Amino acid sequence: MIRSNNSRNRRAADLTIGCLSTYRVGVELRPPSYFALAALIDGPLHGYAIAQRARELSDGRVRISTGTLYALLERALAESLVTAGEPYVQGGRQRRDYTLTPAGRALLADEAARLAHASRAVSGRLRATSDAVLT
Amino acid sequence: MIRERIGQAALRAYPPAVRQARGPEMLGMLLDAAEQSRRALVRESGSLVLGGLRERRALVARAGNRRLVADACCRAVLIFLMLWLISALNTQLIAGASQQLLVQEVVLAAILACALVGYQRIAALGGLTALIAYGPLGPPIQLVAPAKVLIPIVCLLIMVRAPQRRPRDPRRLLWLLPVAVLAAFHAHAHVSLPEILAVMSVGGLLRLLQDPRLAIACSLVWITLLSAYAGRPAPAGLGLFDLAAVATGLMLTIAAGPLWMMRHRAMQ
Repeated sequence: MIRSNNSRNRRAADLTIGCLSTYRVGVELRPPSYFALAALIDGPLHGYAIAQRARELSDGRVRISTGTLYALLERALAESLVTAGEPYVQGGRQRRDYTLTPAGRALLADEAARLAHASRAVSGRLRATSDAVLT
Repeated sequence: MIRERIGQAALRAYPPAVRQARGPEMLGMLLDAAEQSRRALVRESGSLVLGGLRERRALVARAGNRRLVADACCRAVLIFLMLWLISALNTQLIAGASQQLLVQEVVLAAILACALVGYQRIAALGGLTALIAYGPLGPPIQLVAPAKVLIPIVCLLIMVRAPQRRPRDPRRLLWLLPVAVLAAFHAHAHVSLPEILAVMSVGGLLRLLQDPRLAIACSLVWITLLSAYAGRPAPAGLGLFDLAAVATGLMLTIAAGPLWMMRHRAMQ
C-alpha cells in the first residue's frame, strides 16, 4: 500500500483500488508501479513488453499480470505520468505503446532517491552495529 | 482460438466502456503471456477477472453514496413491480381470469417494461398511479395500508427525482422472461414471494463486494414484504426450513448494504 506524509495523500492512498493509487510526488510507489514506470525509461513499450521489462529490471522479483498492469497504466495516464500512442496491430494482436512523460520521470527520480536514501540509512546502521553483534 | 475465447470471457468482468477502450489490447497481452504455458493462461485470466471486478467496484464507489442509495431504490422499484406482477398473475390463475385483473397485469407489465428499458420517470409515475388504482391506497382505503406501502412510495418518488443514469436499452426486456418463469413457479410449484425474493437476495449478496445496490434494494423489499405479512399466517407452502432460509437471507441482506456503506465511508 502506498504510504504518504500528509493526511491528504493518505486519503488518496486509502482510496486505492488495486495496487496503485493516485501518484503524487513524495508518495511511495509499490514495486509493480515502480518497475512498470521504470520499464519505460529507455523508450516507449507496449503492455506485454512493459511486463517483460519490469521483470528483467527487478531480477524476476516483480511479475505484473495483465489486470494489474492495465489498472496501473490507467492511473498513470490519468496522472499524466505516461502517454498512450495510437493502437496498431503487430503479429495479429492489437497493441499500443506507452511513453514516460517528464512528470513520470521526475516521480521515478524522486522514488529512486528515496529508496537509495532508505537503503543507505539501514545499511549504514547494520554495518555500524555488526561488530557489536558479533562480539 | 480457445485461449482467445477464455480471454474474452475474462474480459467481460470489466465494465463495457473499459472493455471497448482497452479490451483488444488487454486480450493481446493475455495471449502473449499465455503462450508460455497453460498455467500462465489461468493466472492471466484470473488477473483480468479480478481487475475487472476492481474496476466495477471503483465505478460504484466513485458514484457516491447518494447516487448509490438512489440506484438501490430504483432497483427496489423494479423488484416491487416484478413481485406485484407475479402476484397478480398468480391471482388470475387461482381465481380465474377477469377483465379487471387482465387490465392490471397489462398495466403492470407495461410499467415494468418502461422501467427496464430506461424510461424510469414515466415508469415511476405509472407505478404511483397503479398504487392508487390497484394497490392498498385504492378504494376502499384502510388506515393501516399506507404504512405498508410507505417504502415503495418513497422508492417511486426517488425514482421520479433521480432515475438511474444508464442508456436506454430494449434488450433489458429479456428480464420479463424470468418474471414469467417465476410466475409459473409461483403458481404451480407453490414457490412463495419470500422465496423468490430470497433467490434475488442471494444474487445481491454474491455481488455485494462489487456492487451493494441489489442487496440494499432487496433489503427494502424484505422490510415491505414482512410488514405486509405482519399479523398474518405464513404464506402457503412456506415450511420451517424455508422460513429459516428466508430469515437468514433477510438478516444478511439487511446487514449487507449498511456494512458495505460503512466500509466505503471508512475508506474515505
